[in-house]
Amino acid sequence: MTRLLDIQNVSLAFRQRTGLFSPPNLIPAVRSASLHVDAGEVVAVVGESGSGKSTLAKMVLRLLTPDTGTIAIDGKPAQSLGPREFARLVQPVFQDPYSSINPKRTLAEIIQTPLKIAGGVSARECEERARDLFERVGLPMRLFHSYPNQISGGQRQRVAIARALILRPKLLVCDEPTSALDVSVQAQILELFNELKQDFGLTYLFISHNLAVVERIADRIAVMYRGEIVEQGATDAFFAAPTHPYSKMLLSSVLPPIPGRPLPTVSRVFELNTPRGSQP
Amino acid sequence: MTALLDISGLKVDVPGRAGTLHAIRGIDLSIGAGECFTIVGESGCGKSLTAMSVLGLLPRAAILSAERMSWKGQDMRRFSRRQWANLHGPEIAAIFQEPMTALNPVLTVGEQIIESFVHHRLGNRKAALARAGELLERVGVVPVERRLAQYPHEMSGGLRQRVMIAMALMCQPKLMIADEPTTALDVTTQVEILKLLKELQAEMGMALLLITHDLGVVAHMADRVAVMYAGQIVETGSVASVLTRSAHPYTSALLDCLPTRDQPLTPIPGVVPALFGELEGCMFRNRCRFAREACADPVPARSVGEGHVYRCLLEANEVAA
Repeated sequence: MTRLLDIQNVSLAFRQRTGLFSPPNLIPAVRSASLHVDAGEVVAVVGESGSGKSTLAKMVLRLLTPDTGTIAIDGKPAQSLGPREFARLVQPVFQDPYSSINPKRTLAEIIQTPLKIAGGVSARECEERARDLFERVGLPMRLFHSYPNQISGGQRQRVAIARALILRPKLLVCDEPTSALDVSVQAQILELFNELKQDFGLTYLFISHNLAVVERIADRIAVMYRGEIVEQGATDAFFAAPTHPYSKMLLSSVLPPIPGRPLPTVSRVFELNTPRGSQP
Repeated sequence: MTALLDISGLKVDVPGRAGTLHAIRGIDLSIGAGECFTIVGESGCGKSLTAMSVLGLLPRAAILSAERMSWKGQDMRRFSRRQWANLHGPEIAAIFQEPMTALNPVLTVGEQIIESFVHHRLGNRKAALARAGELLERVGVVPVERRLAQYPHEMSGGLRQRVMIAMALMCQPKLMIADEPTTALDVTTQVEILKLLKELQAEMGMALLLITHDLGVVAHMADRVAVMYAGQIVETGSVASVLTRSAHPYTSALLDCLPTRDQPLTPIPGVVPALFGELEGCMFRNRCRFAREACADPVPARSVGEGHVYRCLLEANEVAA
């Protein structure tokens, strides 16, 4: 299997200015994270807010540049790829479909834009492909020339997905794509991701804080805590026997809809700074 | 047991350019002392507006009507502004989803937390600060002295929600309304906050009206639950009965779209209907796999017994089958 995404020892610290002349505070967001995604795989990165999972996704999307370490996409260093070449390989789906799509453009324009910028297709073919995708992601054709404010949050997320797919990328980076949606809509979107994976031969890097969500969609799971990937493994094995205390805590925090059970005990008291390699 | 809050036939209409939005279309609701009642439903089902109605904080454009709406036997429909103000704090207190927007960013936590206590003349500033200290300690916002002097932005989301809880408890309310209190928080923090609410509820003998879209939260917190859809309560009863013997197709569909290991995901097709104009019959019928022609006529509420009521033409055991 080809290694579509290869993240090697990537670190990034944010600089917080403390004063005009004093040296900046360094806030490590991601600390030597290594993760790979093979073609056709779905890898989920889970963790709480501030764990560095979105920072990692942004580095993969080249929205942030790592301080150290390398990210290779389809065997080539991400930084060596031209913007158009990169866009044909990797596309994002973000959390909030209210801010990730332009309210002043029609849905048709929004979906076609990446293909227009990439060039190489006639206007007619461009529109045809947009129409196909529009239908494929489950949007009614009568909305094709509507504006984003005329549709619901779930439909907006479908537009964002169609826009991400029009260049037929290999890797989709989804940063909490369902956490702004209602549970019933979330189920629809997750189902769509599953179908599209088959149809388009997609590979996903899927960022989420909800283990219940990734359980259904991911082949492998990586748990981030305080900027480090503290555990990774196949989904089945992970859910059967998580090893890191933080993973266990995350897993026990999932509340199943079964009445009569007490709330789980979560304890934050565990050793965080165990040296690498000596983790339990 | 006499109910603290007793509402029947509550309706909220919001007139607008596109016509009148029938946001809440006749709901009955009663909450007894010390009980945890949850309202669950998707965005736009009217669950938050229900909370706002109980708090007397509906937007000005909204028109409320009810057959009965009483707090400890007093008619809330006739409350003056002063009576509402007297209610907020000592009787009913509320916490909301986003603790950052609910807190004032330019006042210290200490100033905000004592405000209601001093306003209701329950004691002087010193007594108020002492009580605030006790409560912050109780909800785990420590060290108290330093936290009182901090501004909201200096705290994490979980801490801010704890501050909100302490603030709501200052005047010992009989009912706390929590509108999606953990939706903006991490799963681990969510468990901690829920646990805290549950403990405080028992310690203070306080009733809790919890509004959520998460059936997992409902299962772990509620004594009784009401499932709302399109401005109506479609099913209500004890949490054990409603979640394990769902009689309404919507409740069962909501349970099915939760991602679980063993079962395939079954999304509910279609979207929530717009609540404009004449609304007749079951509003779930265009998404329901059991829908038949008679569903377009008004659907009576039916009882399964022990307070478990649902609004559907199906027999109680047909959905599960």
